Amino acid sequence: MSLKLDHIGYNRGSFSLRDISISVPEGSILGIGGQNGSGKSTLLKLMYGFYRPDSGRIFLEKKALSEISTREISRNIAVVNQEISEPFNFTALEVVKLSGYSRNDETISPLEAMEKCGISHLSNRTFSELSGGEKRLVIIAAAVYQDAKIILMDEPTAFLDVDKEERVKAIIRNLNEDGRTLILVLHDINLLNSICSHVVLLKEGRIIAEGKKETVLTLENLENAYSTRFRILEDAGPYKFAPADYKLM
Amino acid sequence: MKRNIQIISVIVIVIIVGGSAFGIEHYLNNSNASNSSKSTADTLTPVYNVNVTEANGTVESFNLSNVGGYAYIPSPQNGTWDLNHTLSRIVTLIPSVTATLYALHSYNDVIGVDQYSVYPAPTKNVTVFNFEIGSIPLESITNLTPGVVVDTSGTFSTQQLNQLVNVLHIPYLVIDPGTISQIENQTTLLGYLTGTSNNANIINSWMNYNIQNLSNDLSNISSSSEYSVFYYLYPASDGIYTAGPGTFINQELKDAHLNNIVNVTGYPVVSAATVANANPDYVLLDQYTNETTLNQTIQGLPAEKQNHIVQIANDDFFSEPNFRIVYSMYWLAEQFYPHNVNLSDVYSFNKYTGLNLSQQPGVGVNS
Amino acid sequence: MVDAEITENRNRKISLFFTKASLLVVFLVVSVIYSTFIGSVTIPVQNIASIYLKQIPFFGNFVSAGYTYSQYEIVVLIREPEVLAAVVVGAALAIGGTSVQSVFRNPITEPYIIGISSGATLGAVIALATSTTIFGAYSVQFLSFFTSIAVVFVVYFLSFRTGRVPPIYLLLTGIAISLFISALVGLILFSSRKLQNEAFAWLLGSLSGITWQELGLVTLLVMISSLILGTIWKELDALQMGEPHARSIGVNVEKTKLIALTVTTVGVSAAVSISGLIGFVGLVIPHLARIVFGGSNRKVLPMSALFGGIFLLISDDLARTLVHNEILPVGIITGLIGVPFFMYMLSRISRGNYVS
Repeated sequence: MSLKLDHIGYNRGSFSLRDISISVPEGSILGIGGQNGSGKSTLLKLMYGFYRPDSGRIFLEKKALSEISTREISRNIAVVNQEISEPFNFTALEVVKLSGYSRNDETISPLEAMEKCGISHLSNRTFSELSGGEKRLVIIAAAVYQDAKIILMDEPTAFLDVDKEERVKAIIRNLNEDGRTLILVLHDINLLNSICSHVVLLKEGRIIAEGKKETVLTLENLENAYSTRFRILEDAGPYKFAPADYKLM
Repeated sequence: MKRNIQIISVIVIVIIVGGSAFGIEHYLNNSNASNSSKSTADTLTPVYNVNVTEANGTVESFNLSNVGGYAYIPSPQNGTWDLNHTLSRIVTLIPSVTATLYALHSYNDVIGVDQYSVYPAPTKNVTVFNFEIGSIPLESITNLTPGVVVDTSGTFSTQQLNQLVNVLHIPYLVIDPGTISQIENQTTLLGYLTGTSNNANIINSWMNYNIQNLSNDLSNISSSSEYSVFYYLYPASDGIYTAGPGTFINQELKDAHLNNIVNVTGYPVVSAATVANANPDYVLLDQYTNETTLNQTIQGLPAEKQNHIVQIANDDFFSEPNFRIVYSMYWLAEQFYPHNVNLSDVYSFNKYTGLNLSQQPGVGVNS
Repeated sequence: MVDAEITENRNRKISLFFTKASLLVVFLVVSVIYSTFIGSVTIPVQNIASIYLKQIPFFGNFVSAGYTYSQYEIVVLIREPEVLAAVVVGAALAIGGTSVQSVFRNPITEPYIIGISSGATLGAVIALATSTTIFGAYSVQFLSFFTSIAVVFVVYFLSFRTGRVPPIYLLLTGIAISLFISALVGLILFSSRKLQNEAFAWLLGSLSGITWQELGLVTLLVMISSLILGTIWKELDALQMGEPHARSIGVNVEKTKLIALTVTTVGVSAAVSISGLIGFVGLVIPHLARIVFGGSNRKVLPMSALFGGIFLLISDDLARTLVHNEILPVGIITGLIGVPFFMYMLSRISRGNYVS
């Protein structure tokens, strides 16, 4: 299942995305990076049809996204949005179950999906009572239950404790090993570097670099994307990039 | 997509069909009404013509617009309310009608009254309806199996009226006299309805006799020497409720040779400024208000400073449109022109009419 | 082991739900019957019983009367339609509240907020002011029904933003238009003081005077609208998670909102056209159902209908019997009961164990 963006333009007054062309390789983990307000989340919402592009087209496999029914899209693309409204008095399990809306057959049960994300113990808890991190994991479990080939995640690790962040990273890797394509919006350069195979860097609604992680994550590109000078840290564990004036203590 | 369109079209059809059904039902029933006699057309169309067949066989016709009223009746045929007998089970929710029925010697036909119908004091066979907090339950009315409910408009919602008239088949008669001649017509109508036309004629004649006497007594008061008055009914948020032309109260004032400063018809609200501008000689204060309220709502009125304030002693006489306003007119005239008129000048009701009411109609007018 | 435990747990939950639900149904049936026994006129129990038996087709022929005709009229023509109307109107308002709260993802919305109440009032007041009789005795009901639907559609179309109807726009437009219409109503009422009494009664809401004829029509409309809402319970659930999420799991968000609001408007407008404005049922009852039965609309829709019917029925019984031989507007009673309950819910909400 491949996703291809073809010269997408999306204009909302002061904010716009211009001429975005991305080809998401099957089985890859594509990271979308860039400064706040560079259009990362908007791009994600365009990718599953929540917003309609003003120009250009998005192709899912060979079909244009605008010609596929919402249900059909959701069978192929699952989304973990960053901000979730809290439903009235739903249990975590009910929230996960909702994601089976478009499924014809059940290859995995809601509880199994929660088990996979290590949160089966939360199944009967009220969703709105959960902590932010637990909620994120429930939504990820819901995406797992939706069982789509492509999973979009908007800042999946933001505001998470270290242990939960590690768990989310592990889930992402597992999903990828299962053959799923993941598209992640990440503001953290080191996360882009550590979990993604491919990276797109956005700046003010335009792509400034796209391709394999190794070719995109260069000091010049980062400097261009984030308007800050970077330097490479040696032997700093998962951390490779830091602002140039950042001192490691 | 397709399914949703189907659902929406179903909804639209339901709205149209369901909504129209009210109307279709109505028109079907209406067309039935002209063809068959068993129709129950659900309408609340006012009917103005009443034909009453009296016990002796004569048919009396009456136009309800002569009492400022109308009737809602079950299955109105040709806009006429045909009564082939006089009414014997009457619920009256208007004190003036209750008093008139009593004077006509028809109080035996009264089975229910409102709480304000205190003349005569209700007997134990008469149900008294209170509606100070809420409204009257229709089941209490139904329980009395009345032949008619006499009322002023506004007591019941249209929904309740529909149930009363079209479902429970109880006629609903509205009477709202605006002039003294309409008050006399009211007596006549109630006389027809209860088969006491003779008594009605005598009562009207008593009224006319007294009104003529009053007019004679006050004939030497020229229009230039009449007092101008403002009738202060009760305060509203944006002024004062009062009575203007087209009301029997206005005519009471006129016949007592008082000049009402209000020239807006009906029961309007006038602003304090309007009253101050007209500068009445006197303020006629209603029984249920007081001088403090007056001083608060209208300030600096010369009539107030001179203490030219007359408070109505008994509203039951002054503001209930029936034969008893004669007493109220004499009382008013006595307040303003004591050299010309005295309350005791009213010719005795019992003596004139021979109807011998045990509860004297004039008692309490000045208390 | 987990599977067995889960199945057992699930079975226990299902049977608990059925116990609670059937208790409610039994309570509703009992209160409906009991409500026809009470009123300002006291009718002997055995008379009411034989009136009931008389109403059964064919069998009724064998029942000897033993009651007066006016007792029959009181039970069959006055109490029965009013009692059933209380159930139908209560259910319609509660279901409408559930649907509107799901669409707006907002616990303090109710169906009136999208313009139903102001539209219905405008229609009623116009009918009263012009004393129109184009639809016979039902002109007020008819006009209020249609005006309210018209106003909601105006609100809906004014809320369109680039092909979408964001709930926040819908909410604000609804409030704005409602205020505008209320101003119009105020203007009409101000110009005719005589009208104020009647309009006031309408604004407070009353179930007195409802006939079988109008009840039949309203019940039909309410049933159809409730059934359609029942078929989109999953979509309504998903909407509560926010539109981006609902869309991502395959829900056609705009269509769901359109269907939900249309059928809600039809059902609630129909109910309001015969009852006037009865407050708090649409606001409070859905939350009660959610607290007792959990948040999923699969249960909340039918159960809020049950709760709503029972709540309004009891309120109406109180309105009819609280003061001897007088009827209070039922809207006053629902307000008096509704407000303390609403405050209690607010405290629960602020403690964060319901919605935060």
